[in-house]
Amino acid sequence: MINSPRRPVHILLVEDDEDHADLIQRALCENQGDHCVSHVFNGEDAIAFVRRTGSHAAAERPDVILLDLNLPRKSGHEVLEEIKHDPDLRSIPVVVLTTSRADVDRERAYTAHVNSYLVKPLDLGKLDEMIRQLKTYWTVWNEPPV
Amino acid sequence: MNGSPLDNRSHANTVSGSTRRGITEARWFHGPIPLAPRQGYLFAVVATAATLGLRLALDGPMEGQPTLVMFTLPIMLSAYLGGLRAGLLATVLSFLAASYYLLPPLHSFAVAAPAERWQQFFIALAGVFISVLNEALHRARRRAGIATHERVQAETRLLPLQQSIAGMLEGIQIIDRDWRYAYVNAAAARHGRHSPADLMGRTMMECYPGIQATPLFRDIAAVMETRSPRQVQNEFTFAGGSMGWFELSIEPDPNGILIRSMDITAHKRAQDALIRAGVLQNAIFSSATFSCIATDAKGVIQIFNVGAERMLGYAAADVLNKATPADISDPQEVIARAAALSVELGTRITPGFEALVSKASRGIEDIYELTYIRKDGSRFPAIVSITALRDEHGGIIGYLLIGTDNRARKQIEEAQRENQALLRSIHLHAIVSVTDRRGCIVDVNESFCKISGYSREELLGHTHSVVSSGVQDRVFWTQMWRTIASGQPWRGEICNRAKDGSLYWVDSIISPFMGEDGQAKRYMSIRMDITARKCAEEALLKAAALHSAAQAARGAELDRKNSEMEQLVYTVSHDLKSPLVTILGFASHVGSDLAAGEPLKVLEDTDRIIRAANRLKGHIDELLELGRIGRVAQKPEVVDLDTALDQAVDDCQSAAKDLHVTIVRRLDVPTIVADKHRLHQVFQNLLSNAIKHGCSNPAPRIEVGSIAHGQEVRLFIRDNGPGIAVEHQDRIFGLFQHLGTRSDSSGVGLTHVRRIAEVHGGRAWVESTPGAGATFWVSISQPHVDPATSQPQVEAIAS
Repeated sequence: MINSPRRPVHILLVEDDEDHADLIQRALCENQGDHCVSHVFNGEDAIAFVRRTGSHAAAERPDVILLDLNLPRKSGHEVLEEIKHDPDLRSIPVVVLTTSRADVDRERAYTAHVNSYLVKPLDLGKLDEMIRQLKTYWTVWNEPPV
Repeated sequence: MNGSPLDNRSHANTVSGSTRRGITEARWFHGPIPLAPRQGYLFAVVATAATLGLRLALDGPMEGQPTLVMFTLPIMLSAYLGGLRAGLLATVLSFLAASYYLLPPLHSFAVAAPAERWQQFFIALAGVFISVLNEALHRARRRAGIATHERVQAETRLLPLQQSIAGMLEGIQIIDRDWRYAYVNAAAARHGRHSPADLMGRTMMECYPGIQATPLFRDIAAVMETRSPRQVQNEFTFAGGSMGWFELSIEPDPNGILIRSMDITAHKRAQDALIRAGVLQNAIFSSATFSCIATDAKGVIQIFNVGAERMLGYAAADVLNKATPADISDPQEVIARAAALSVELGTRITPGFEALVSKASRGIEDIYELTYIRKDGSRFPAIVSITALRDEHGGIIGYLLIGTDNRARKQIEEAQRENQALLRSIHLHAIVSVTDRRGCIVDVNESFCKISGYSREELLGHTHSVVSSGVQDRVFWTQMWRTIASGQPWRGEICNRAKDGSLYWVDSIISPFMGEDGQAKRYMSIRMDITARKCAEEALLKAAALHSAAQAARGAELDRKNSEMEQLVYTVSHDLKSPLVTILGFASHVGSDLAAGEPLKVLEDTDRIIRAANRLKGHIDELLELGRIGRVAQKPEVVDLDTALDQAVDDCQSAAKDLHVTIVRRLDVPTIVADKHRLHQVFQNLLSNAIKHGCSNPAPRIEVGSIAHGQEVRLFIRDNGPGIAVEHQDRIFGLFQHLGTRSDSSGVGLTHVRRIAEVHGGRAWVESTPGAGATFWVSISQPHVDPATSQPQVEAIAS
């Protein structure tokens, strides 16, 4: 059952690769469901965003975070661990979106209580499809925390 | 009960005294009336006549007054001496005589006065009465005499019986129904370890506390109740702990019960001894380990027991009455013994049986070793004891030869000889010491003195601490002492110190000798000198340690390389995939953008694809370059740093100008030995890095310099930019790592710098305080400078 109407889902995209960020945002726009995307390029900005500090003091708390792992200044793992260790932030769902399928990355992410771990597909059109389904999942099917 | 005829000894004595008086009384009362009847009658007549004559003679002085009372005298005497009849006769005659006196003419018979008649009548009556009384008295006396006689006879017969009861070996005791001792003879009291006085009148339970719990008491109680006799044998344990066997006959008695007891301890012991002796004799004679051969006086075998049969292989029937012990002995030994004894005893002893028994026949104890020859001809050594058997007059009636197989002893002796030989060998080759239970040395051998350098006198009475080296700790010695004190041997390697201070190693075995008290009495320590082996081991250990250290170093290097390789593969796979995702992503949009009739978007997609492809190519080139840095090394040469810097600054000139960066040089070391091309790369990378990230300051300033530091030259490039947080300071040297966006940098420059530094035997690092700029350092190892030529040996670095 779809709950409606509901406010647009606020997605924080943490991605240092501008091309990837464009591809993801484009795919998000293609699908149904209201959403808004905030994009930061590195780990430190991601933490500042969710904590609303520095230049992100006015930022809104995201409903879901799409997190790349290989980030400048602070890696995706560190961002994830910091969020999940913070009692105020740990309820924010974090979806890792990376090109790495390495065991070490998956193990570390799940140990840090990541909500989902997605590998960017290396097939034509698959990334779009994945992002669309992801959006449907988080904007339509998923009930946000209270 | 005390009045019982079977009373105690004192009572028996009393009976004995009264018996003697009884015998006297019996003589007095014994026999019939003193006179025979005829004599009695005669006495009556004579006595009466005499009384009459006396009366007549007294007639004148008494003036005819008849005093008839005197006639009672012959009556009493006759009755007394002659009995009733003589008394009655005397009465009649006295009555008549009195009547004559009372009657006229001479003396008329007529009674003159009534009073005289009364006298006459009184005489008659008194005479009859006295006679009857005497007769009764006589009869009573006779009966009494007979009774006394019989009693005396009975007592006389009883006396020895009583004495024997009192003094008999058999104990007799009578216990009344209240369990009190009514009679105890001396033997019974002795059997009970009490005196009769202790027991008399007291109850059994008072005299023998706890007796009620014994089976014996149950037997006694059963007799008391059922009144049927029993006989039991019982072993008593007395208060003092002594024991004795008694045979008890318990019988009902009118007073209660009578117990007759007989001490059969000696009998029992004798019986036991007899049984034991019998068993022993039987054991000896039936023993298979003793050969018992008995002969007659001439030596002919009469008894040949099982042991002899087994040892010698003959059946008894083979030798009985047929052979002498000399026939089954080694003849040479018999001859030799005969010769020896001839000399010893000073008389000729013939070889044969005489040689075997000549000493025993002279009453000399004789035990010697003899070789018996079995039926099958084989021999075995035996220890033989010879005893002469003699009759009651001392004459020899035979001989007994008891032999034991001596092989075991022989074997022991042989083992002892071997042990002694072994001990000699040990003393020759090993270091031996013996200590008492406190560890004080009581004996050392020559080897000990030799290796320790101490003399025997210096060691005796001291503990082994004299040679202690201190190499072994207290725990080691505690464990050793615990082991040997518990009776277990201990083995271990000990380092000792000789008198001259040198150390020597010994492999020690310490064996305790246990005393009868179960405690170690002595400790014997046998040591082998293993100093040479220990030195070799130590050298080997050192070599092994070096080897393993080298291995570890190689392993660590390998681990580091592997780790680097893993990291590289991981990074490469990630960073090569990333542009692919971009290419594929935008490629998938090309079609839709075309279909949507948006050619500008298609162009943009295509542009993105091309950029990503170029990035991919760049990554691949950089990876190849990185690999080349490690693999290809150009020959190091002396590089002028100023010149090298010029080239690098030229390369960055335009960017530096745009930012108005001031570049300052401070070259303490003007030249450096390095790969010129790589050195240029270092400067170029670090300068462009500084210009790109360290020039946010309004007055950007970059300082480039070189300083000497030991055997290396350190190059530095310092900016006054925002600096780098501590957590990023190592990370930035990693492959494809960058602090900005991907478009800012390739993330390979610093990796190249570090790799080049490593190839030159140095390293690269950054020192920075956020907000106060950053200093990148690169150390380049320098070869030794030859003082003669003042030229650095550049080949060294090339290797």
